[in-house]
Amino acid sequence: MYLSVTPSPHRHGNTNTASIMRNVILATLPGILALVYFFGYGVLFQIAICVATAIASEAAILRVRHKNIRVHLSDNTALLTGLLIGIAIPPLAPWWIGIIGTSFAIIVAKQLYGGLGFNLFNPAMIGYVLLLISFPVAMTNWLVPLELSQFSLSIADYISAIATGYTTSGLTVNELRHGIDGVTMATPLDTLKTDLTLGLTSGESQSKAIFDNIAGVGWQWVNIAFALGGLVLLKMGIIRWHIPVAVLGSLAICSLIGFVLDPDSNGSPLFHLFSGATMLGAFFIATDPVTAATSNKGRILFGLMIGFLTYIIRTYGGFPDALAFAVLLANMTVPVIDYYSKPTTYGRGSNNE
Amino acid sequence: MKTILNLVDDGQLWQFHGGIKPPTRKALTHKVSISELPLPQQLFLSLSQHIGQAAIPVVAIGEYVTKGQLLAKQDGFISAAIIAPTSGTISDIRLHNNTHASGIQAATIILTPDKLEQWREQQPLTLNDDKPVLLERIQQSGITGLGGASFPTAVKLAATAAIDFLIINGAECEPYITSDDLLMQERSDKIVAGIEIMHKLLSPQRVIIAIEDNKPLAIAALEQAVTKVADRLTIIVRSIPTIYPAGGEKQLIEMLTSKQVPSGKIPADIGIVMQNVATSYAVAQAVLADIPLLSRIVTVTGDLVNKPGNYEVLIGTPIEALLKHAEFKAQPQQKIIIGGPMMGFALHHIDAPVVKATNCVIAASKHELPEPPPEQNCIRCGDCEQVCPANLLPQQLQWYAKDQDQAKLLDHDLFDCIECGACAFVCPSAIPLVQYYRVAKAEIRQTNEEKRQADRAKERFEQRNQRLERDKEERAQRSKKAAEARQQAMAKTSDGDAVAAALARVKAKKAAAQQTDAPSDSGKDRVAQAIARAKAKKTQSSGQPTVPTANSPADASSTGDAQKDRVAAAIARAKAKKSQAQPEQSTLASSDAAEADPKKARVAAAIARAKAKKAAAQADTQPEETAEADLSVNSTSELEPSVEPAVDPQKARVAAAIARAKAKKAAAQADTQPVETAEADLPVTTSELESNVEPSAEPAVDPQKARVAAAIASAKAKRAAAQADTQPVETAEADLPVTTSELESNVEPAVDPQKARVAAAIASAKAKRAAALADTQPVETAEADLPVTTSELESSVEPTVDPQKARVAVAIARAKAKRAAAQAQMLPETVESDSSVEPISTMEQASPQIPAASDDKKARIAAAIAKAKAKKLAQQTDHNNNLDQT
Repeated sequence: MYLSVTPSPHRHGNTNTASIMRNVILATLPGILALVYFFGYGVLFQIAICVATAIASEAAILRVRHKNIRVHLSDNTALLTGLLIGIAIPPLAPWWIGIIGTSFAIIVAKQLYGGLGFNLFNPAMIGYVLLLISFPVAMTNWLVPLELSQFSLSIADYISAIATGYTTSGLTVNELRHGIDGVTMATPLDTLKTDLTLGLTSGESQSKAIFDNIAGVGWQWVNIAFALGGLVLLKMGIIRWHIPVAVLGSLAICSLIGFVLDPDSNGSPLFHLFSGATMLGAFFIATDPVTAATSNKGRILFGLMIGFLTYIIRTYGGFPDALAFAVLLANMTVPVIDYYSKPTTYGRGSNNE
Repeated sequence: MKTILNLVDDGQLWQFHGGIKPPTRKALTHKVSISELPLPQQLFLSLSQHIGQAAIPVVAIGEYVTKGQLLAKQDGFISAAIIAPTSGTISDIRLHNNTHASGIQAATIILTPDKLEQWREQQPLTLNDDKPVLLERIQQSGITGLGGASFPTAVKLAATAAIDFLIINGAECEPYITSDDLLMQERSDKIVAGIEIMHKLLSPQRVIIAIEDNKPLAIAALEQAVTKVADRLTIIVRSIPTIYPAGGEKQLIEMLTSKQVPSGKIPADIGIVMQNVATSYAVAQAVLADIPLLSRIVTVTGDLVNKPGNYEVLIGTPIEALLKHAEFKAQPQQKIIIGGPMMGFALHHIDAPVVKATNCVIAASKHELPEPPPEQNCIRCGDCEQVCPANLLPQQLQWYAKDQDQAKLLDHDLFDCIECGACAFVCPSAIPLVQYYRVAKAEIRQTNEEKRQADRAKERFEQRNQRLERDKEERAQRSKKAAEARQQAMAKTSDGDAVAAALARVKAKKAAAQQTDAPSDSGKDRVAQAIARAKAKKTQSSGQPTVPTANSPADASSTGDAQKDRVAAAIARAKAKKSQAQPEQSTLASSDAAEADPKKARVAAAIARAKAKKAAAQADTQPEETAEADLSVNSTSELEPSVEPAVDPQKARVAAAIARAKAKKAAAQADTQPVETAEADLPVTTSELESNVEPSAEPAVDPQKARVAAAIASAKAKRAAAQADTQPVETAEADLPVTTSELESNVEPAVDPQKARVAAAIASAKAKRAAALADTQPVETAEADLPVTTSELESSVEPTVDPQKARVAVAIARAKAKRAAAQAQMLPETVESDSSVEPISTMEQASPQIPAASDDKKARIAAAIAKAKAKKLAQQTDHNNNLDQT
């Protein structure tokens, strides 16, 4: 009769990393659906490429590190990283963009730092920023919303465009970006930024076709969809409210201040909140537990920093959408935030009664 | 502004940080009423089942004890007594498996019940008795906290500070456990009675019973019991939310009163005392019925027991018996947990007993309590710090515990962790957090202990150093004073020549020590004699008896009667020693005198000098007269008469010259090194050898022989001179060719070229062998040397070679070899002598031309002399070395 001796506690809750990651992946589905609806199937192909690369590169680096591939792959974290990069890159980016970015993110930004739990920077954002800096043209070839596009693309077109850079009818991706009026269209954020430099007011810029309602055709619905997914995660308790609220709150406050002070040179708060990758970043990217601060106080500080930096870089920086950079900069401050946001232990408060 | 008391009265509850809500799984037993367990075969009463010092047994093996009798008294203030749960005999007091997470054994009293339940005399008390009496009763009854920590209750209830709240803990927050629940349901009156007693002891402002809201029956029963005493005492029954770990002392205090117990302090410091309901019940039993702590309620549950329930079990019942009664089904692998699943430990041995803290036994299969999943990397989700009731950062603690960063661990308040297990429960990566903290705590405790010991050792070391310094100073002071006194005394008695006298004394002692067997009859300087004797013994034990020195003259006189020669030799030896000793004796005498009177010492020194001069002078005069002055000269002169008339006067002159030289050397003996004495000796030996061998030689050879002898003598002198400085072996090696060449050069003109060749051959052969001496063992080399030499000799010796010459050459060669051997290493003479003897005989046998017996003997003796001389030389060298050392 063998008595098994293990340390207490002898009961375990039912949470595990794999199920958490799986839930996060599931919560991105509304956003992905919105992307497909508004911008075509490209995003699905990109996700496929990135996820495949993520899993393959993680398996390869785990083999090199002599770790158990099965155990580590089954925690779904590589899957999630691939997914996020796939969502973040333009739908018709060449096939090698996804491969380079994802493999760099997994191998360098995650595994070479020590694997899951040891990386300082958000791997998906590292991959995205690498691509953005190295291949700026390919990374800014955002497709026009379908309703505004003069071309309709078939699946074969998508595949050919991603694989070769040309659709089956020989159009380049850049040509595909021509709107109905024949002018190359960019994302709303990009449009606004360019127009401001050209001397237009924000109001004049926002009268363009790309800006429909609040934050731009398609993009606002994508953001709303991601926000919905994020709220589901909040309800399930997989993420805590501190980071999304802090990110969105600080971005809203900063853009409000800017808008109030100078409405002609700034987008409105709603514009900022529902355009670009704001919601995706607030709910899915900034809440990555490994690279975020741990305590609630620390998380609020972390989120505030991201929101603030996003606004600053969007308005004064050189990139239209700054969330990736803001996240990476905030990642750098996390160890300090963690050290200085320790909660007061029971029995050590100065106001002990 | 309402005070906390007001708020408490209003029913306000606060929250503690964190907490989890695991499934309670109390359905199995929360309605099973308490039943008694049958008496087991043996009861194992561990002496250390409480916080504090282990109890000290007061019964002996074989003694009969009654129920309720004291078995072990408490040791010190924080300790508890052990009471006999039933009557019976003490069968043993030994180590037995203890019910502890470590599985380590503890001293246990083993009681074999006699099933008679013989009680000791019982004296119930009442509430009217004095507080000290009540406290003493509680203490004598061995009551400790029955909630799980086993802190001695009497100590807690002896708190003298003002108590605001007396909290009775009926929370029972851990899953599975229902022992307190049933106790409250069935015996609430006794619980309230115990509360009354404690109220008397502590006089708190408020009394609160806290029960989790998943125990409605218990709440109802207690509320009923409380109303019965409402006229005497107001007890608040508070229902609290079911959160784990609400039943933890610190957490419950925070929940009920919003106060936090400061880190490192106890609740009594903030005016709160907490007791478990079971402890309260035990207090009531002990005081009002004089039933000490003999039994407790234990919940037995899990999917491996067919009859889960709450059993009243005697303390000391083996868990085995308990499980058997509950119809435990053994599996190939299962987990037996003592306590709850969150903080309980897995049992190592099933024969461990129920102790005072055992409130639950869970027998769970793998399905009920699965093995923990493998540990994964921390994903920094922060869930652990969300649930930590102590508001710590378990994640950071885990990083630092893995890193063994003790400073950071203490920075993050590791010791405030109550090890509740909530963090590990929620961890998605299944990291065994609490285990890391336990290990880290143990490491820190160990480091502190080592540091403490190191500090103490350092302190002691410094104190010791100071003490030694002090002692040294004192000694220096004392010796300084003594020196001054001595100087004063000496200044009074002498005219300042104490230094010279002392020097003379030292010299004398040194010279006396040089002698190996000096039969000094001064009898005054016994120390010097003793030293000399010791040295003699030493050389004797190393196998170099002083006999050879005596033998040499004996061997030298090989002509004529050997016996006579030996006698003469002995006399010669004695005289030699005496002459050697004379200067020393004079110095000895002088030294003795010096001790008494420095003047006398000077006189004695002068006498010694005069004697030496005289000896030298005598050596300078005619050979016959030298006999008087110097013994070595005497020996020579003595020997000369024993030499046959056929001895050449030239030879005699040679001998005389040698003798003079010896005399001079002997005169200088008192001052010079013994090596030189040996030097002086060797040529004599060799020359004597030559001179003594010569008589049997043909007259025509004599001048040659003399030359040979002279050459040998000079060569030897050189060698001996070099001996003191260079390594013996090399010296021997270096010298051999010299000697040989000298021999050749001196011998050639008149010697047969063949003979010369022979001699040369021998010499070269010996030289080679001596060269090999440095590497191989001298004995074997020497041994090897001689036969080879002999064989070489034989081979190179042609029939026309003079046998006498051959023998001479052999003897010389052998002597050289032996000397070289002796210089390299002092080896037992016997071996060499034996080896030396054999080759000679071999040679004799091999060369039939060589004449018979007498020649043989002569040759042998000659060889022996040479060997002896060599030994003596080595011996002197050794003495010299010893003297240098002393």
